[in-house]
Amino acid sequence: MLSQDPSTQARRPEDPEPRIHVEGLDVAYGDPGGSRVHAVVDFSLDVRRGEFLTLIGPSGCGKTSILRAVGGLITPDGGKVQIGTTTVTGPVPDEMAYVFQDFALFPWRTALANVEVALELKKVPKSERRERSLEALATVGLTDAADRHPHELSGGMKQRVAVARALVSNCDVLLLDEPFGALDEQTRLVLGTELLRVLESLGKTIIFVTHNLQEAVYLSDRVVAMSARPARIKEIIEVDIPRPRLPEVMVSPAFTDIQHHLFSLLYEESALAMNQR
Amino acid sequence: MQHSARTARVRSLGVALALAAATAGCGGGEDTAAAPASGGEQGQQTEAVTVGLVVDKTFEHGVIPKITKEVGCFEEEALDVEIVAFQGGADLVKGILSDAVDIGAATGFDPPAAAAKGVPMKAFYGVTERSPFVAIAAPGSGIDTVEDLVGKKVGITRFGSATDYVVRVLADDVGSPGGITAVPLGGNPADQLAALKRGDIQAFIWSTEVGFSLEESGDGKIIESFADVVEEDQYAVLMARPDYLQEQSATVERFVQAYECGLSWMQDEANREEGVRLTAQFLEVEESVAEATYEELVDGLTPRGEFNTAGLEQIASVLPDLELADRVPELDEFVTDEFVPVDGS
Amino acid sequence: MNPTRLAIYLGVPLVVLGAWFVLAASGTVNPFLLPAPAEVLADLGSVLTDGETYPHLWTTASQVLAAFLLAAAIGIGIGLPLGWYRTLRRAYEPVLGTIYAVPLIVLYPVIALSFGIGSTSKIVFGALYAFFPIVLGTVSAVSLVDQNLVSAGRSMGARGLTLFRAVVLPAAGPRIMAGLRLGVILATLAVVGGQYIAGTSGLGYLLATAGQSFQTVQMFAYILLTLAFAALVNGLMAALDHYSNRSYR
Repeated sequence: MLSQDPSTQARRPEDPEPRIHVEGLDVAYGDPGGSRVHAVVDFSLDVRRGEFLTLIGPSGCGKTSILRAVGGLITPDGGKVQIGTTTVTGPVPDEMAYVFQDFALFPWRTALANVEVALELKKVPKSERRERSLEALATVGLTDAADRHPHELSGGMKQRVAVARALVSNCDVLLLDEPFGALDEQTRLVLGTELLRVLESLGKTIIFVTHNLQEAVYLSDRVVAMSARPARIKEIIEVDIPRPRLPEVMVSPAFTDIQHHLFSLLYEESALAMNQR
Repeated sequence: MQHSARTARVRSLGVALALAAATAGCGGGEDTAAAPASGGEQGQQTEAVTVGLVVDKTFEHGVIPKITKEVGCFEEEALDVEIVAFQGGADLVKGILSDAVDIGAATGFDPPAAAAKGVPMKAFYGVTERSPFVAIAAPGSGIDTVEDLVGKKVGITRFGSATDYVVRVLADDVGSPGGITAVPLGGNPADQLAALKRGDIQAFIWSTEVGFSLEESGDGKIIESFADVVEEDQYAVLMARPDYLQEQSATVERFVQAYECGLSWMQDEANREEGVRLTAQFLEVEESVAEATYEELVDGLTPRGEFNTAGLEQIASVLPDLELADRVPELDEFVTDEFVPVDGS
Repeated sequence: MNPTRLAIYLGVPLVVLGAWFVLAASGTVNPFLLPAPAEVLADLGSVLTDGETYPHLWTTASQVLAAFLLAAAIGIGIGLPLGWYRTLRRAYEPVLGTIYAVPLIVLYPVIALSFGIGSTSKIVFGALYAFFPIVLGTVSAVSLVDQNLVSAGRSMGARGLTLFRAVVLPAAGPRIMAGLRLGVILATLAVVGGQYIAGTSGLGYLLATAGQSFQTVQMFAYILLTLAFAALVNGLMAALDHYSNRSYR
């Protein structure tokens, strides 16, 4: 079962070397009142190469802080993050791509130009840039929207552009921070299933943050259920449902069992989190 | 200072004026001057009058009404006087037209210029004929007389202003009409001095207190007094709308009496020290400068208010040259002598 | 344009013109205070055709442009770092805001003394007035940039100046432009004002001279001319604003 070849396209959850290693992570920030809030305390986790891992927990529990620390967007106050054997001290654009909750598209650029910017910053030559960007847009089904500006696009379309932007640089790690958070239920379902279809074929390592139970179970190989702030792992659930997963699987007994289990884990944490505000 | 003026050369009227002055100087003169023309002082109702100053910080237009008020001459005539400063003759005329002020402490240029524009305005009292303007050059510059200024540049406030007029007359006087270039530099003497120091101009025209001030600080030298050059002039007057003069003639009478009281007070030797002190205060200059200014100008005041009509005619005739009007107005359009003694009486 | 809109746009100016006409024609106001519109327009016509006015227009335009460019360069130059670094912003934004509230016109005599009464003093004065809305607008623009956009840029590998150029500047653009629009208006006001107080040329000088010389008709003609000039300046800036923001909304 052990394989020393890291360049495979298939999903290899059994690979013993973690793609991302989080050890003893501490993240704190100052709140408007002036005191320090400890969002994350002594958090450790290993993410396997090629797996789809979801962090789920009540709002404010620190999962976004963990994701930002992994992505190198914030510097932790303690502990470390490693990608492969390298310690993360800042963004690693060649290996990790980030998708933001509010899409974070540049309003002054067209959809195509928004995707291209990822390659522009890597000094990729113009024609190659354009070609790869058009490909990425095609992957998410947005070829027709290439010349439109973000304000002309719907929420779902904007999110797909954000995903395209993350895909175009061919990083093998994707970090997605509640990418469907700003969308309505139907759109998020449709996008979720589409995203899964796209990502299943690519063999990337994905860390996904959400608070939506159904989404978490449907998309992931493993779900990390987290406590209220400061974030602690309550349980890591293995989602054994085989791939490719069609939408119908969401009503199967195996699925709903896992979903209920997740629900009970999180219910009391949510109550706790509400009192924290 | 926007207004051209002609200093009075008290020649043709010299005798008449000397008589008037002598009468005012006599013990009886002051008392009669203070008594109102109609009725007694007692039982008069206080009238409110607003006076507009054509410019503020000058001896003739700013200081005189303020001293007159300060020493109680208005009070004696049961007049409650408020003093408001304007920024030039056109401004003052507009103020009078719109009833913001009743009476204007103006220059000899203002009534004829207004009349030529069809605005009803009349001078009813002459404050002084004598122009206070002097030509100031830089010390040690080699410019010592007006002749030295021919072919050179002299600072004025604006084209069409009183200072513009002074330059023209000075050039005429030394036989070189148009031979001195006037350079407009605005209403702030500091700008003139700066230009003088930079050498952009070789002299500038301003009123005498500034000349004295600069002589004292060593920054300037008075090379000519306009009063010594021009023959007929009427520098400062009081003016108002003809309908005001008609409807409020009793009040205007009292106002004239108050002015006579004030000007006589200023000419009285006994009040010299106080007068200088007040002048220094109202002009915001050193007492030495105020004293020199006072000495220079106070004797030219005409407490009984008579006009130098030749001076007024001269001014009216140059209005088109200064582009202040399209025509030359007739004397009776802008002067009335109903409140003052007629020339020679 | 539909008729209702046209009516609204033209409505107010027409009412004002009408009131002016009636006031002058009825003799309610002395023509020395408010001359008849017909006379003023006629004078405006001759002012525009006599050829002597153009040097003054040109002087005013070039002074406004110079003042504006100077203020923009310094204002944006200072505003960008001030907006970006929080400690700098906290230290200096309140100071700038306070000075903005002071009527700077009181400084004109000092400026005229130091720079003379030629073009330089007007440009300095105009730049001084225009500087404040520009710098404050830039500070605000940069500090209000959506931090998500900055994070996105960083996640893609942008840092330092690249980050600034690729993300912060375009994001701050519209608000900076708003500050610039205000700046150009204030520059115009200050330049013409300075010319009025003490100058030798320009629209302000023409206004002052006509006003002081009992030439009310001509003064009103110059007022109309100045209004047209200001409208032109504003219109140009509005077009520039529209053009630079065409992709944002």
